[in-house]
Amino acid sequence: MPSPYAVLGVGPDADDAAIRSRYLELIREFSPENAPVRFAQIRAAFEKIQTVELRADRLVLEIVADDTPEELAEELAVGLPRRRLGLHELVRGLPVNN
Amino acid sequence: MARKRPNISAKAATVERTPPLHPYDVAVSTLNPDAVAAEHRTELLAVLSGFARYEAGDDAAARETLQAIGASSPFADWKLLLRGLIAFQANDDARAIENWQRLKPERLPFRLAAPVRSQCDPEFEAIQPASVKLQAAQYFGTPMLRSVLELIPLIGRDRALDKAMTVAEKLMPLVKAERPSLVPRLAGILYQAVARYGKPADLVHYRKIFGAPAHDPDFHRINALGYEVNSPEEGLKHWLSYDKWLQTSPPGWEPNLLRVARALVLRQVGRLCHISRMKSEAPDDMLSMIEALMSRGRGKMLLTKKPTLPPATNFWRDAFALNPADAELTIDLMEDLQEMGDFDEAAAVARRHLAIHPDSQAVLGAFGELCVEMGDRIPAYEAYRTALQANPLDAKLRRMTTGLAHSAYRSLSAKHDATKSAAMLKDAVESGDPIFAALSHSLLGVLARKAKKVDEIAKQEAVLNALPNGRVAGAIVAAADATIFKFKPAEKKPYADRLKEVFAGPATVVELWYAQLVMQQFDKIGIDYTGRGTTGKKVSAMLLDAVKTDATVNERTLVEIGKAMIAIRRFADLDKLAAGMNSRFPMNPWFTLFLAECLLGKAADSGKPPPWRKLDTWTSKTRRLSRNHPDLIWIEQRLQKIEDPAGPVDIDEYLPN
Repeated sequence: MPSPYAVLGVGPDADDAAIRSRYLELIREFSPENAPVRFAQIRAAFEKIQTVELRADRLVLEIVADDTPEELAEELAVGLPRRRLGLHELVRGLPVNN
Repeated sequence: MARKRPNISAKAATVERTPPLHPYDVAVSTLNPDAVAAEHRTELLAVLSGFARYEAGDDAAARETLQAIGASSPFADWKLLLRGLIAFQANDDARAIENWQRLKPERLPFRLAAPVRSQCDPEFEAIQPASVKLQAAQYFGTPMLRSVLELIPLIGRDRALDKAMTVAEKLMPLVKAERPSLVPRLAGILYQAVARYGKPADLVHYRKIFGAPAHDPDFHRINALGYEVNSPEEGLKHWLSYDKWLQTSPPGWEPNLLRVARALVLRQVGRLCHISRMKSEAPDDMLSMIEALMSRGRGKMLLTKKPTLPPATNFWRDAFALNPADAELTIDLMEDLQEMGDFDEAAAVARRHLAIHPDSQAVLGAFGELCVEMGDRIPAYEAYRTALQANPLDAKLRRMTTGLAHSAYRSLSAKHDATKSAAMLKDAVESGDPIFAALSHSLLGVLARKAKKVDEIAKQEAVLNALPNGRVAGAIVAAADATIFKFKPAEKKPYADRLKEVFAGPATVVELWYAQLVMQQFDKIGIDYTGRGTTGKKVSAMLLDAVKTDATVNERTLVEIGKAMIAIRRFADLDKLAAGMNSRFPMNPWFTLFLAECLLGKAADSGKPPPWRKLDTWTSKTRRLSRNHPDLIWIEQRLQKIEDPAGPVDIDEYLPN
C-alpha cells in the first residue's frame, strides 16, 4: 500500500489539523457505504499519522514497511493482457513445487 | 443452470505437492500416442488436435474436436483444461472457472491450469503458493513485474541484500520509465530492508540506486537503528548526529513534528545510556551468572564494570523539556530521578505531564507510588482516585485508592477542605472491601463520637467487635484511631483497655493473621501513630505462638497464610511462622517449601546469594514429603524452578488468581 501520506494526499509537513481536515474531506467523498475498500485505506492511513507523536515515531524509531515487494507485484499484476498458451508452453512452465 | 461447485478442500485446491503423473498425462505432455491403450488413442489425438487448433486461433474447431472425448474418458481433464483456456481467452471467466473447478487435483491438467486460473479466480489465487504466482507472472507479466517478483525471495531475515540491490538497480530504469510513482515505494522497501537486515555496504549501494532519502540524508538514523543493539556506543553517536541534523530545521519537518521527533531521539539516547548502565551492573553473560550461582554463593553475583555511556538523566531531561506530553518519557525520567533520590524533581516532572494529560493512567500510577514513597498521602490519594475514575473495574487500583482515602482522611483529620474530605470519607468507608472493614467502622465510630451521636457510637463499636475474625484487628484499629484523632485520656481509655484485654486473652491464627494484614495496610498507606511498633511486635509474637497452639486452625489455612505471606514478600515473618508450622505438621511438604522460599526471598531482598547448603536441605525434604501429597505436581514444578540456577525465581505464582 502507498504511504499514508500518499493515500491521504498530504505532504510530510502537514500538521494535525491539515491531516484531519483532509481525512474528513476524503471520507465524505469515499463513504463506507459507497467505497468500502477505499474508505478502509483512508481510515488506516489516518490512524497511522493522525497525531504528531505517531508521525514522529514513524520517522524516528519505527521501521515501518508501508509496502512490501509482494504488494508492489500485486499492484503491477492487475489488468495484465491475456494471451494464448500452447500445450508445449504450459508443460514447459509447469510450476515446480516442494 | 449453474453447476454446483465441487467440494474440493482448500488444501486439495492448492498445488502443493508433485504427485506421480498419470501415464496418460505423460503421454499427452510428451505427445506420445503409443503410450496409450489402443481404445483411447482417438481421445488422445483429439486432445492434441484440439490444442493445435486453439493455438492457431480456431477456438470453434478446437471445441468441436473435443466432442470426441466423453465425460468418463481418462482424457476428460484435458478436455476441461482446454475448454477453460478457450473461455479464458474469450474473457469468459465464469465459464473458465466452471471448467477448471471440475479438474481432479491429482491430474496434470489441474496443475497446468493453476497459474492461468489464478489470474481470474481470486479465491483460488489466494491459496496458491508463490511458485504458481511466479509462473503466472512469467506467462502474462511485464519485465518490471518479473523483476519485482524476483525481489521477493531476496529480502528477509538472514539474507544478504547484495542480490536484492542488484535486482533493484536493474529494476529502477523500468520503474522510472513506466511507473515513476512507484519509485519512492521501491526506495522505501529497500530502505526498510537495509534497516532490518542490512549491513553498511548496502547503504552505499542504496545511495547509488536511489540517492539520499529526504528524511535521513546522511543515514544517521538507519545507522543508529542498526547499531544500537549490538554496538550502543556507535548507536549513540549516530543518534546524536541525527539530532544535530534535526536541529538544522530541515525542509519538510513542521516545527511541532521536529520538536517531538527530537524528543524521541533524545529519549532513545537516554534509554541506550540507561541500558548500558544496567548492563554494567549485571553479570557479563549467562554463563558467568550460572557459574556464580553454581559456585553456591562463593561466586560474585554482581560484576561492576564502568558504564560505557554517560548517564541517561540529562538526555531525558532535554527530551522532556522538548515534549513533556510523552508519558513513556515522563516515567523514564521519574524513575531515574527517584533512583537518584531526587523525589521533588520526579514529582515536578509528573505534575508537568499531568497538567497536559490529567488522565494519563501510567503517569498517575507512577505519581501515586512516588507520593506514597514521599509520604504525601493526599496527592497520592488524588492521583489514584483520578486513575480509578477512568478504570473503575481495576481492583488493585480501587484497593489502593480506598487505603489511601483512609490514610489521607486520618491525616487530614478535621482541618481540611470539607468537599475533599467528604469525597475521601466516601471512598474510605463505602468500598465494601473486607480488608478495610475494621478501618471503616472505626472511622465511622470516631465521626459519631465527634458528632456526639451516642447510639451511632455504640452501633459502630458493636459492628467492629463482631467483624468475622476481626476481633483483634478491630481492637487495634479503634485504639489507633483514638490516638490518631487525639481523644482525651478519658475517651481513649476504653479502647486501650479493650486492646489490652484482647492481647491478654487467646486469639486464633486467623484473627491474628487478619490483624497482621491490617497492620500491613497501615504500612502500605502510611498510617502512623504512637505505639504502632509495639502493637505490630505483639501481633507477630502472638501469631507465632498461635501457629503452634491454636487447635482451631487446620493445615490448609496455614498453607494459605504462608502462600499469602510469600506473595507480599513477608519472608522474615514467614520464616519464623513456617518453622512453627513445620514442627506442628512435620509431614506437610508446604511448610518445608516455605522455609526454602524464605531462604531465597531473604537472599534476593538483601542482594546476597542464598545459603545453598541449607536450601538443598529444605528442597530435598520437601521433595521427599511431597511424594504422596495431592499438591505434588505444583510443588515439584516450584522446586524445579528453585533449583534451576539460571531460572528467575519469581513469586508471581503465589499471587491470588
